[in-house]
Amino acid sequence: MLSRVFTASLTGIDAELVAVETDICSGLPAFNTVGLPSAIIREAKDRIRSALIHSGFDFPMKRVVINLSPASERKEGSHFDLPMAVGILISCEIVAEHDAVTTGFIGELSLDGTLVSVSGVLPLVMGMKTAGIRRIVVPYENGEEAAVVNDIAVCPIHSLTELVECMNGKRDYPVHNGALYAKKNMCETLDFAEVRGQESVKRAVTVSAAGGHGLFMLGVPGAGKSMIAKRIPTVLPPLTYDEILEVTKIYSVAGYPDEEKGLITRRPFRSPHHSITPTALLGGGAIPKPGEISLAHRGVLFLDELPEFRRSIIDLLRQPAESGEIMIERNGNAALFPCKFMLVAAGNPCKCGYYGDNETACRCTPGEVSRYQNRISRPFLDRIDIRIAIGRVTSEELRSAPVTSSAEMAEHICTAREIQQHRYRNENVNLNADLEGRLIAQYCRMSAQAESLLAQAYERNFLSVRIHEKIVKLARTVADLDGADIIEEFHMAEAMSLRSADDLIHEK
Amino acid sequence: MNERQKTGKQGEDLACAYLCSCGYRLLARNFRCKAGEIDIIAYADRCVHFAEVKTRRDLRFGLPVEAVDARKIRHIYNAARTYLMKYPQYADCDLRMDVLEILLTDARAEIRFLENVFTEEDL
Repeated sequence: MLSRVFTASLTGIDAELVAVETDICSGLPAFNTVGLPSAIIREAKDRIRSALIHSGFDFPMKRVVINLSPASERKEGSHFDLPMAVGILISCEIVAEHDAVTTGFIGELSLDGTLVSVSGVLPLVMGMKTAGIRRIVVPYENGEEAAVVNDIAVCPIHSLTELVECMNGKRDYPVHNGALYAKKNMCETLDFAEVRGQESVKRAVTVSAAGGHGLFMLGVPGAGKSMIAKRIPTVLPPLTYDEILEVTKIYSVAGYPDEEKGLITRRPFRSPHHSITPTALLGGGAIPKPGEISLAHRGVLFLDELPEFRRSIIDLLRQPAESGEIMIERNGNAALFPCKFMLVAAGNPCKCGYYGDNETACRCTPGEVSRYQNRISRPFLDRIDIRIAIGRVTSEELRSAPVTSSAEMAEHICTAREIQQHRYRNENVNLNADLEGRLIAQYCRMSAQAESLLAQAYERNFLSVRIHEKIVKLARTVADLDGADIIEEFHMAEAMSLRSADDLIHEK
Repeated sequence: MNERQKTGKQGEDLACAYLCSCGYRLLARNFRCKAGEIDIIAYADRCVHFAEVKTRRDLRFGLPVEAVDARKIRHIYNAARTYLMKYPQYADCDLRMDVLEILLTDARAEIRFLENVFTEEDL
C-alpha cells in the first residue's frame, strides 16, 4: 500500500515541505530510500527497523521504497526517521491514515522506539505552518521550541508507541500549551557598573551602540577591553519578537543546545578565537550551516586580539558586514544566512602591548610596531567608525564607586535610536552609521563653530575624506544622544576624540 | 561421494525433513543455474523461501552460518532471480532468503532455522 506523510527539509534558515511517500510491495526484502537522502537518512532504515520491532510492531519483510519528494532537493537531518517510520506503519495498515494529511512529523528514533530531539525544529515548524500543516508531532524535548510558532498544534510525543495510540484514536494527542513561552528570564548577569573607570570608553560604547558604529579598542593589556566588549549586548535595545525568531532560527539550524530551550531572547555575543577557519567564520559545510557572523546576527561580533587574526580571515568579513547577509553555495545547495551584527574589535598597539602607554615603556622598535600593526587589514579597519585608545585604570578609579550602569547607557541609546528612526522614516537607512553622500549633507547640519573645528582638524592632521565623513556621522550620533538637532562644536570635539587611537596607528 | 559431500547431503536431507514438518511445501532441491546454486526452495503462506543449508560436524571453523559470506549471498540472490524468471507464478509472492544451520554430532543433529537473514542491501 502507498502512503504519504509530511515533514520538512532545511535550506539555510528556512524550511520547505517534504512529502515522504512509502510504498511496500512484494519481492525480496529491501529498503530503498530515494530523493537525494544524505547518509544520515540512508542510515535511518536500521534505526527504524529496530525501533519498530522494539515498539512491538513487525518490520515488513517486503520491498520498501521511500521517496522524499521533491526528489531534486538534497535532504539532510535525522528528523526524517519519524515520518519514514510513520509512512511504513500506515503502509502496513498498522495506523490509520486520516490524520496524516494535515500533520507534520519531525523526530529522530532511538533503537528502542523513543523519540530523540533534533536541531532546527523552529524553522522546520515555521516552514510547515506556511505550507498549510495544522498539527505537528515533535520529540518531547523539542516541544518548547516548536511551541513558539503560533496557530499550529504542537504535539510533543515520547515514543513511537505513544504516537501510534494517538493516531489510532486510543488516546488524545498531547498538545503543548504555548503560553509557557512568554518572555522569561531576562535578567542579565553582566553590567557596565562592574567596569571601574574607563568612563570615556563607556561613552564610546554608548555612541557606538546608539548610531550602529563599529568599535575598535586599542590599548595596553589588562585595561578591560574584553570585559567591556562582553557587556555591550546589555546596553543594546531588547530584541523585537521578529528578531527573536530570526536569531532563534539561526541557532536552531546551527544545532546549538540552549539550556533554556526555545527562544533566544538575549542579543548574542560571539567572540571567535583568532585561529578560526573561513568556514567557521562565514558558515559552510556540505549542507550549509551558519558561521560565527550569522550566530552574531542582531548581536555583537567581538574580534579580540585583532592583529592576531590572519589578514585573509579578516578581509572575508568586509563584504558580508556591509550587505548584512551571506550566501553560501555548496554543490547545488544555496543558503542565505543573515549577519547583521555590531562589530567590536580590540587589540594591542604593538607586540609588547605598551606602545603609547604613559607608565610602562614600550620595548618594541619602531619597525616592530609597524610590522605588528600592519597585520591588521587597513581596508577593514577603515570601515570601523570608532577607534578609541584605552589606557590603564588608575588606583583611584579602581576604588571609586561605579559611575555609569548598563541601564543608564541603555536608556540613552534607546532615546538616540528613536530620534534616528523618526528622522530616517522616509529613507532607506536606520542608523547614522548607514548614512552616505547626499544623506550626510542633508541630515548632518552643523553650526559654524563645529564646521571650522572640523576644517582645522582636516587641515592640520591631513585627514582623508573618508575619515572626515566618519567624524561627521559620529558627531551626528553624539548630537542625537544629546537630543540636539544641529551638531555643535562640542559634539564635533567629542566625535574627534572617538578617533583617539589614530595617533597610535602608524599610517603606512 | 567424499566425506565432505556426504556430510552436506546428510544435512540437506535433515533440513528438508525439518521444513516439511514445519508445513513448508518443497519446490526444488539443489536448483542449479549459471548464477549459482540454491540448496532448498520451499513455499509456505504465499511466501517463497530460498534456503541455504550449512552443515558442520564440529565448531573448529566457527558456526556454520558464518560461512555464508557476501559472495555466497550474491550467488543465492542471482540464482533466486533466475528461478523466479523460470517460474513466474511465484513472482508476486513475498520472497525470503534463509539459512539453515545444522550441527551434526554423533548422537544427534542440532538445527537452527534463521529466517530472512539477508536483504538486497547486504549484497
